[in-house]
Amino acid sequence: MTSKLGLFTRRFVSNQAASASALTKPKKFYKEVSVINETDEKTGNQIHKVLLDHRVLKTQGGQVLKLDSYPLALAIAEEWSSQDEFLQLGQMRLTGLAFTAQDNPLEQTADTISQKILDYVDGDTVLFFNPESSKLHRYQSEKWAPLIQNLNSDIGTQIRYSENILDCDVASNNDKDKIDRWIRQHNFPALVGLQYATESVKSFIIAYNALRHHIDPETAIDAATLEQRTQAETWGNVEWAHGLEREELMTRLSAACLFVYFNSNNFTSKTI
Amino acid sequence: MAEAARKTLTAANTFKNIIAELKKVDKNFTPQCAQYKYLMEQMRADQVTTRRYSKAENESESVAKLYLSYIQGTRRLNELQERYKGGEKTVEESARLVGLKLPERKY
Repeated sequence: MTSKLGLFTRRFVSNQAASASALTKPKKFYKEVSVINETDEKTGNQIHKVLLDHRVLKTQGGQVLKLDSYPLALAIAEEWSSQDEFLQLGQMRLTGLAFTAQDNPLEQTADTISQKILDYVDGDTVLFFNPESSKLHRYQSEKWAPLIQNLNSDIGTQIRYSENILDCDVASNNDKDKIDRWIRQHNFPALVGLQYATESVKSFIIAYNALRHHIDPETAIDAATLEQRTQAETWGNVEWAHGLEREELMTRLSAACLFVYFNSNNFTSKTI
Repeated sequence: MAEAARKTLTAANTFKNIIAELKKVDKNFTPQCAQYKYLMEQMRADQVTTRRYSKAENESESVAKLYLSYIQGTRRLNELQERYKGGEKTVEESARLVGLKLPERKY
């Protein structure tokens, strides 16, 4: 039995030739998960790796997964440890983000990622209020206006909301420059997380507020699904669609925010 | 001071919830494992900083909340998917629906 972990498809094909398809989930092939710490020879920093039994976890590109942050390594190890008999790789979001950040399969750069995130500002969900329904409009003023205000006071922009869906002027070039500068403060893994957060809630402003700890994840998802929930108040909630969507968004946004946080902060503790 | 005490309660609550959630989904989660030790450390550190640095307090609690919503969300997602997953009835069940029984198989 080959024990190279990055090559799930090869494992599939050799063990279960008859049923190898996208639908069969890989089996949990390990019992224990642990984290080991090493010192990188070149930089002298601590790096962490995840072990499944005695095998080291590799990314999908075949490289050994190396993490700078100990809590992140613990959280990723926990993802693998909480799997049942069949692995659900799509749900292990921190692992996925770590793989993407290390492999960079789409060959992104800080430039391409910040451009993609900036693209969301022009069409940001929370910048367009709908005047047609007075209830929705009221909710939007209550829930969305503070988020815009937080961003403006934090980095000095003057972004405003619009009631016209064709308005192209909600953020000036000056504003976008300031946002761009804020985005570029982050290192590459944090940028990957930032992009994932923005794309999951379809709004830079909501992602920003969640990342800067202005709001908790529940409030963020409430803001992102405001229109659905307002409609559901009138017409009722469908659990297998709305509930599912909510939990999906929740896991995506929380995982992304955690990933950005762990990659952006160094933890030091001193015992005296 | 009272404000700080109240904030400690909710932060400790979040950590307790995280531990409860992890116990539910991870059979290997014991007080000896590294994650548990890390959480305990964070809880203790949080209690100290809460009393002195109110700005840092929000951050530690906020990160705990993020992790809690992540693992809770994943568990609920799985439960919903289990509950609402489709699937065909077997031939026997469909027969039973209309009150028929399959003939016995002799092989």
